[in-house]
Amino acid sequence: MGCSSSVPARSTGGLNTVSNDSSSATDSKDLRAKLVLLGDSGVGKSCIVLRFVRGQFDPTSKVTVGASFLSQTLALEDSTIVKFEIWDTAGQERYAALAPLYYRGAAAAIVVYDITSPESFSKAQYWVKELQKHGSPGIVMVLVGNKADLHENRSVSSQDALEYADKNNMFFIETSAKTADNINQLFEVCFEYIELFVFKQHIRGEANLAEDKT
Amino acid sequence: MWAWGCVERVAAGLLGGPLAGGGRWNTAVAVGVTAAAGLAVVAIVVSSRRGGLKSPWCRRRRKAPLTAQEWRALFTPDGKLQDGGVKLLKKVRSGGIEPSIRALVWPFLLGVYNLDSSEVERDAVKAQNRKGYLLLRKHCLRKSAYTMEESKQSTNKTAGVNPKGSISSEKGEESGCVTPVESKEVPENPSVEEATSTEEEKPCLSTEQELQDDTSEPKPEQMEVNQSSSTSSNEEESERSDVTHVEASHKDSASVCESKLEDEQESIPRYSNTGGNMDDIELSKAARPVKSARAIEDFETCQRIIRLDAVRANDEWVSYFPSQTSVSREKAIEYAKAVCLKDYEHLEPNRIHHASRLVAILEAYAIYDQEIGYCQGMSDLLAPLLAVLEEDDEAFWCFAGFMRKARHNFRLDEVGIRRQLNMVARIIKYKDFHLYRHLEMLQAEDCFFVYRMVVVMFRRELTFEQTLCLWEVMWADQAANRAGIANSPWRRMRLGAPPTDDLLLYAIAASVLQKRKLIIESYSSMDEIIRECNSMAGQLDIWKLLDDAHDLVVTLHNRIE
Repeated sequence: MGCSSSVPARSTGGLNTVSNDSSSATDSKDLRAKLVLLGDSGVGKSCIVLRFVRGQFDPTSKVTVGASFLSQTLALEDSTIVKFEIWDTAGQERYAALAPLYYRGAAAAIVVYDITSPESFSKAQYWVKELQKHGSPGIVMVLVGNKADLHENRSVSSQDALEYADKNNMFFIETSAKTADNINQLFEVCFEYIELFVFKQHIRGEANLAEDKT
Repeated sequence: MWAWGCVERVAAGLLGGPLAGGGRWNTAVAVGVTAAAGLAVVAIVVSSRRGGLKSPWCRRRRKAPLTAQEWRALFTPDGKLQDGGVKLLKKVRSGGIEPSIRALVWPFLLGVYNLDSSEVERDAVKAQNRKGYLLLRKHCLRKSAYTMEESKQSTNKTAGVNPKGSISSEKGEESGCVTPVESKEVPENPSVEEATSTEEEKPCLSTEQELQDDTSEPKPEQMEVNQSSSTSSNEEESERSDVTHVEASHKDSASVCESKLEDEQESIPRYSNTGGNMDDIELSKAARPVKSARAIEDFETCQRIIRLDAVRANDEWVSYFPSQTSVSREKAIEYAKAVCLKDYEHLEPNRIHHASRLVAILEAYAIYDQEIGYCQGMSDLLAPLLAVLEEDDEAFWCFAGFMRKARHNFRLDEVGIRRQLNMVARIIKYKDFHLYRHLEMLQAEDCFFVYRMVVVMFRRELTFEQTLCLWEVMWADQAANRAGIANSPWRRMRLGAPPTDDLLLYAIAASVLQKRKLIIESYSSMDEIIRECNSMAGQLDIWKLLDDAHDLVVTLHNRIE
């Protein structure tokens, strides 16, 4: 399939974007995590969410206006239940001014581009910069190259994306909403990162756990 | 009022059977009920085939829509609407329009035709509009040559074919109608009288120069009303209606493409804020000029996003318009190629056809109104118009009429959308301070949670048929204001609600107020309210909503507007 992923070293501390309801919620291993998807128009943000939440792929899914909201609960191996609250934003630049409303308070931002579109990769980099400037200091960022099933039309190499992700302390993964490749993995990994950087730190006041992982 | 509403709502609920107007319902019983002030009102109980809805006692009565017969009876022998359209607007404001005549009535509601125009005048406008639309399409194709290298070849071959296969043929090169039209403008309404006349004959600049046009300089909406070309227009009309298939239009459009520079001398219609729209006047100070380099870049981006959005447009209309679904795959593909549609292979022919029409018109609009260009959400506004209006040129001008107000929602500087959200907030504040305080507590008093409702005007929350009903009632209000007949007695309306340009915002506030209890008791964050609003789809009763909106208009319009 050609989907690749990487876990870059990460040494950011100071994660305070707490998305679990309260400490009691964390005690019972019942967590909530707010995620936001950002990226250029037509890269497949809504399709990724729909694939994850409903297990469906609809190439004609409606244009997102402003943002849409979906949630999905995921049971992890250690019997933790995570409820993802996912904000799927509109891709057009004109709506970019609204994005802070959605990424404000998000535990993780999933920045999506289309592996067949270099423009969308540039746009992804714009979003990363935007998040670095205006996002919550501890927001977990994931770079996603979608439409991996169209590898014959690939114009953004995995290597370039990986390097960019490494440089910016992001997790990188290639997905295909169409074939469902790596979609669940994306959200699982998102959660792992949130857990590392947000929940655990919140509970035990620990920081710099990234090294454990990597 | 809620209790009254419940009884009265009985009937109608149902938003009309799609095709035959009230055809899907059967009037059964009549029941007396009272309205807020204790006055007796009669409601008709209707049973409907549509199952699965709540108790019929909780549905509000819809007044009968305007029928074809009533519509015909509204005209004088020379084809003018009686009493300047007051009766028409009253009827539409209270009950909407029977689906079979929507295509005839909408151009009046949307200001394409003056309410007091004669048939001859309208024919002239129609001919002129067709020409204007063609020019815009040609301009799109010329600009495509700069920006869409890979599709240039097919573009040049097939040119501005519209899905009906007729637009590009209308020109009939031999008719010589490319020459600038000397015209005396008939103002759309009294307030535009002085504004609409002077620049009609201004020669068209070359493409590059046009791009440098500062759109803040008002140009006349020269296509709106034009009396002069009436003699030739009838010929054009008949000529055009003969040409219905793609082959013919291909031939013509090819020649259109080859007819080069002389066309460029002609004025391409452009949006101008001379339409007397209050928003225009209020917001024009904040207008930002469009710079040339950005305009080119933006058009390219527009073209790309328009195509992305066109192939994922909602297809709910399909079941309402079986006549539009009979396009063969071959023809659909030809249409698609003509506008360089991409990634449409998975679609049904009728959807390819529809997507191609969306591209053609949205692209033309991006040229027509460069300040706005294309913004996601506009395809939601255009798609229902396309389903009702089968001719692209007509659909374009109706869309342009629709956008006169809606365009402010799509402005880059967000002035328009903020004004509207603020107005929803004020309606809620004045009507229900308790709810407003709760919103303040959640830091949601900016009413951002109704953003999508404002931008796509309930399109995502209502069914296709419901949307059309809401929009036409809303347009009728705006048309009444435009025509300056807002002060007529509006007895037909609930409590005599006067027409307002912002009926939509009252309806949005009403939909939030309907959820007040839930919001106050159960929601503790704005996210939850946004979620609630985003999940209203399919749950709204449009006539109940309109009744509530009209109640709000009656009690609050003096304070809000």
